[in-house]
Amino acid sequence: MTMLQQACRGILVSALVVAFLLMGCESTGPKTAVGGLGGAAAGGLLAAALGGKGTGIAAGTILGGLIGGAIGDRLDAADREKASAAASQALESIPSGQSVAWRNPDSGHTGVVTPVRTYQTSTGQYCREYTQTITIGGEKHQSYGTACRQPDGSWKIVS
Amino acid sequence: MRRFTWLFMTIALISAHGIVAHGQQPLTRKQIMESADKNRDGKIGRIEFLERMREAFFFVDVNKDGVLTIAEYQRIQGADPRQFARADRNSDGKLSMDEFLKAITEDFDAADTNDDGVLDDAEVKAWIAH
Repeated sequence: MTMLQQACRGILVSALVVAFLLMGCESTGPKTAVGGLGGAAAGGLLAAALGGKGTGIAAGTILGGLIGGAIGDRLDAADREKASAAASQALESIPSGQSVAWRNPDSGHTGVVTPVRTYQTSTGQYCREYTQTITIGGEKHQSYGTACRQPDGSWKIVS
Repeated sequence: MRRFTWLFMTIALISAHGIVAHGQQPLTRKQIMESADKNRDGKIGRIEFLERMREAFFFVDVNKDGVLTIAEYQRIQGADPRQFARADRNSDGKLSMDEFLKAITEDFDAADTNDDGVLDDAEVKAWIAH
């Protein structure tokens, strides 16, 4: 091998090494998630989160003071029943940010329940924070609360 | 080796026809992005993503016993039992919320190439490219 051939070979090898290194530097692709759930599952999970419940489980009852104080005193039994049903449905099956509304045509009172956050306690119990807006005579009253799901499927207002 | 992860699939599905939950209408791109980018800053943050995933866990947990079985997990579109097994760190056949969040965090971190805790446009594009 001549000196020229050796020089050319050296340049070629160097060029290949540099090109290889540059390829590595230019890589901006994602890292590998060895223990992840993978893309397909995560897409399905996101759909589940956005779509809410699709299980067919009936919403349970609401335990505790969903509507208290002066506002509660201004609602009749039918209002309370409708508000409870709306809250139960929202907590059980509606994604955070979406709402369930109720209306009592007899009293003219209306309400909206919106879950805003979902979490699990250290014991595995599910809890959801929510906002509730009740309109009485055109006047809106907003409140914020937390309800936790009981083993029997009911939701207990904890704050 | 396949490098598809949650975001790739999400974006791919967004680009196509949206995604369909059990018994639900197909979700529009707007719905999906609004859900992932809760604070509307144009990026997908780790906290907002994990919050949404906590909620996904709740909805996928059919009997609401606080864990996901393989049967519940396989109700998810695209679920892979092998990935379930890898995420099930204590090998009890169930995914706890902790195990679930660790697995999904790994997916998020893999996409977050500059380790700033959010996924920006470039990172999203990189996911798509893979």
